[in-house]
Amino acid sequence: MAFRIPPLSAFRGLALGFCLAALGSAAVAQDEGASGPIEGDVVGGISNPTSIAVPDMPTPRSVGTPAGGTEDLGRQVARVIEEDLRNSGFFNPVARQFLRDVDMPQVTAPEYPAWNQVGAQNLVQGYVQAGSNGRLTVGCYLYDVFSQAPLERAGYEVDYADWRRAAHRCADMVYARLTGEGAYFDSRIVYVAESGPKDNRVRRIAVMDTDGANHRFLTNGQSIVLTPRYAPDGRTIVYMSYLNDEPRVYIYDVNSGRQRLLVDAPYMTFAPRYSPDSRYVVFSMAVNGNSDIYRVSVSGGRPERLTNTPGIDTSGSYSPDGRRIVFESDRSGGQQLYVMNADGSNQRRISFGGGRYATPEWSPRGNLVAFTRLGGGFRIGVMRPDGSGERILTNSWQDEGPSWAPNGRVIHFFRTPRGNSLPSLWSVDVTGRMVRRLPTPVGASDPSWSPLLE
Amino acid sequence: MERAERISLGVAVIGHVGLFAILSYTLIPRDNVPRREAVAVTLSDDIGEFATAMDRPAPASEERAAEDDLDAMQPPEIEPLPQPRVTPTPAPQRTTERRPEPTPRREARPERREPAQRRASRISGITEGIGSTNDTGTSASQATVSASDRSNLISRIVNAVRPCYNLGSLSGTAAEDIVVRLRIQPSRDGSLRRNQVTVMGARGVSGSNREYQRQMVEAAQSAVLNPRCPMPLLPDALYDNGWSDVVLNFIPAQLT
Repeated sequence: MAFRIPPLSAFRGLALGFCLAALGSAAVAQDEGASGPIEGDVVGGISNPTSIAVPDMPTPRSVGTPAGGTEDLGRQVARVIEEDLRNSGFFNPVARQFLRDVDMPQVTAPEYPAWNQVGAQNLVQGYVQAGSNGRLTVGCYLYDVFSQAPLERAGYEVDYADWRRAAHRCADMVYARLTGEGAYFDSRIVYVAESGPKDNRVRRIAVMDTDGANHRFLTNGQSIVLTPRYAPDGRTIVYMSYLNDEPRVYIYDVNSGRQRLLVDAPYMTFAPRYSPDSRYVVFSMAVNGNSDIYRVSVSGGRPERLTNTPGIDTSGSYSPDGRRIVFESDRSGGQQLYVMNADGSNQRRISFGGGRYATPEWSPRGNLVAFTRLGGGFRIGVMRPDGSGERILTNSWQDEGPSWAPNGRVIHFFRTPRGNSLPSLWSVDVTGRMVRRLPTPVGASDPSWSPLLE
Repeated sequence: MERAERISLGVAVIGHVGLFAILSYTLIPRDNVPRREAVAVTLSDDIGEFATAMDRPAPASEERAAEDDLDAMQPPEIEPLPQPRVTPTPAPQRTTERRPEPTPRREARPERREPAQRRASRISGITEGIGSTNDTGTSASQATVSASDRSNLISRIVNAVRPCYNLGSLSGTAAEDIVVRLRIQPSRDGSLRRNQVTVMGARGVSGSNREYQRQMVEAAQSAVLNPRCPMPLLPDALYDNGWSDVVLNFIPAQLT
């Protein structure tokens, strides 16, 4: 019987193995008597609205103003802030019966233990003061109750009539600081107000604050209006009207209330939207049965044609940098989304899911495109500008016409129930959560968000 | 037996002896490795009773250093806005901002201030699994907080903190890629204040989520400071070298 003796190197390896084993034991032994911090992972977490207290704001001197006494304004400002934060879906205001009265010295020196006891994680305090210049000053302070530390503060001086704007701006400050998102409460919404039976519906352009306040109608309803869109500078609104039974695009001046025809051409013009710099309007024009996308200066002039394929090209929407346009086209048979350069070059399809896609709008952040997906109902979705990462955010019978908030986090759309019911405005967070109905006095469709007010 | 077989047998015997000698030689250093005795783990009602060794006291200088770090992160002291003529706030309440009065969290657990009370029988159930003893059944020393003790401690702390790790608006966004690392150094009575929490860093921050970094850090800080999720009742004996110094990694989602 013969066998071979393993080479000496094998023994060296064996010895090395013993050495490693010994080292391992030493490591364990060292761990047994370890010093230094103990360490662990908190994996997961929850997603609940943040508890926040917004007590009534005191006033250093009670003064009567055209908008009411400063004492009463202090209460109302706090309630507007509270509602803004609640409606965002990210905050859970402490019930008012648990709130304490705050006096002026406490505005800058909160009683943290007391706010801790009512379960508030954050605290918004402030004051309201009538100035000698006929304006109202609202001071706004944000605190972290758990850390017992101030987080942010700001002051807003407004005309008495604009006291709600001061409240919205305070709420914006709080929202932006605590979420990391951009502000959006101090903005407006333009939409088509609808009333009357379906076969004889009256459609008027209306505007309101984001929370539904300060509502007013801009047109009288004598002609049908569609797709109103705010200019990025907030000064004008572009829309389509069937005035004199000729569907054309008009521009409405918010300050003067005057409106004018955008393109003087014997063709139907529709689906207008502004460029990010408010200097151009991209729109569709139907010429000889073929609808293409054009661009024209807001002052009018000769439109520049951007698409020239057979079919309907419409719903153009600029990217925030103005370099590209997303639009819908049925050139491939059904409505799909396409992206092209702002001069019309390099057109490429980006939607490839089942069903059809319509009414795209590019996010103010530039990272997403919102759209209406048709097929098995109408639903609101988002995708990246290259077509990837598609997500459907709503699931109802008929949701359509998405419009981004100025911060690119929230989307407005309108929902139409089955039957002859009127449509209504809704909002949804870009994560697909917090679907909420917006209050409007009548039926509502085609919302468009204004930029943040200046 | 043939001659060849005898030779083979002889070679085999010599070979085995040689192999035995080599193996024995390589095993000699192993004898120098201290052997660890197996430790029987039993529960004790007297945890911490003899915990007097202070070989690793919480150094005041470290606490001060942590406080200094936080000072640098603090926003500037709030002053009344310039427009209104608001009477300046008297000092007494302001001075409490940095060292605030006891919060309800502490008031809710007054018994934790007395170590003797922490050894009360009701704690024995709470400390189940924590605090091993040696073969003789005596209490573990502070200097020998075992690996299993440390593992149990961190598990208890993590379980206490997790329900208050609220991502809120950050949930579902790119912020979930950010992992925040916090160091907490609770007082012996279990209380924890802002100056006992140190941010050690955040990873996973990129261009797509940088705007959320501050909020993610604050979400982690709020989790450990939330009075609804206080530090669990832990054995005093395991404070030093144990739960006096804790590092927590806040991981919003399992990263792949």
